[in-house]
Amino acid sequence: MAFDVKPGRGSERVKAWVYAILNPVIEALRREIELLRSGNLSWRVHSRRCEYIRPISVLIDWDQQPNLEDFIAEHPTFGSRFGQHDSALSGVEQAATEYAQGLLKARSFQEQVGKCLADYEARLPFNPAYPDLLNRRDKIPEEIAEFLANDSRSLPRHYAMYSFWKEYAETFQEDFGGFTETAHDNVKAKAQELSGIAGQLSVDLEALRLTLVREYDIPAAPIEPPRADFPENNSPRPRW
Amino acid sequence: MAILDTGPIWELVLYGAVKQLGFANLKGDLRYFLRPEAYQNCGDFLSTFAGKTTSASVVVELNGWIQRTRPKRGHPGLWELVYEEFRKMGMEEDVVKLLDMELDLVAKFGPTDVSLLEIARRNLTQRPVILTVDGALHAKCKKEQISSELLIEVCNPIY
Repeated sequence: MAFDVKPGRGSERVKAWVYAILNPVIEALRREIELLRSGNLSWRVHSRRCEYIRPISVLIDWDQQPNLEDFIAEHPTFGSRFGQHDSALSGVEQAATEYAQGLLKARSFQEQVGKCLADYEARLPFNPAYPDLLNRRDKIPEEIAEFLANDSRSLPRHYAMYSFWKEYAETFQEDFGGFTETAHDNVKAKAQELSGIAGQLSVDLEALRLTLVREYDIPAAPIEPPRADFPENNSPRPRW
Repeated sequence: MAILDTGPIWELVLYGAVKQLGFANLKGDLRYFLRPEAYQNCGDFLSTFAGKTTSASVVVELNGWIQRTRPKRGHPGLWELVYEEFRKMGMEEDVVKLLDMELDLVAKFGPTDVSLLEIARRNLTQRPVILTVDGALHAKCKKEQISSELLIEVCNPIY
């Protein structure tokens, strides 16, 4: 710790670090590592960002930003490591965007989309369960680029593109997973780099949390009285 | 055409959050998709409809459910999931004005349920089916001779 005055046992200040900073960041990093392990970047073509892998400061409630600043002031190493994580994430998003843009511009990709759509539409009369994709036709190339960037092998059955992707995913993956090979390899390399950074950061933050809860004798999560703020209906009780 | 009430949409959102994105803390909120087969059965059911729609009132209810979740920093993520379900299902959304709904029905069932019934009435040629978790709405549909399915029965079909 950078300052001479050490917080006392049960310190509220240390609790704020653990509850408002370490816990949400550790939880988010664990999810992030799982997503990256599965190859799902959660990158979205409409936002050109990874929707479920977020910069560290975004993981903290806005009204807890002063506690984040206080934590970083006392643990400056983590400040630079958070920055390293966010920079690696930005690299993944940039690489995925370039990959998708490369696909969308490629004539062979456009031709393949057109060919598959024509084939799909020819099958419609014989497959009543296949939804007509006419009203989303313009968006289909972007959707396919997104599936490829996220390594989506299959989709939930209720999605409009389920039958199409079931039919043609393999073709696209074979033909275009390697089409813009450099760009695709770049996405994978950047994702791997982010995964390594997130993994080590998670381990070190968990170790710090354990040290803090032991040293200041505080629980690792706040103990709250039972909540009674839900109406008496039988709707689910959502918890994020 | 499938017309989705708030409960089934919320369950789809929760399942996506838990299974695809790893939000383990939401697992306890799942009420119907407790087994992968239940989710698949619902997917099978919905995939038989070329069109899927809901009511703007349902979106308002979803907002209410999201607002009750804690911590608040999760709200944008939940909304992203809702947007994603709508976008990827190709969900349409209809508005039914309050003044177009019968006051007695609104007083009894609430504007959301009545708007779903009205959307079904407006689209009878498309053989609408309301998917809900609400037994009262399901019963009202039967009475009005509008097709309706309870999510629990869709998840656990007897065949």
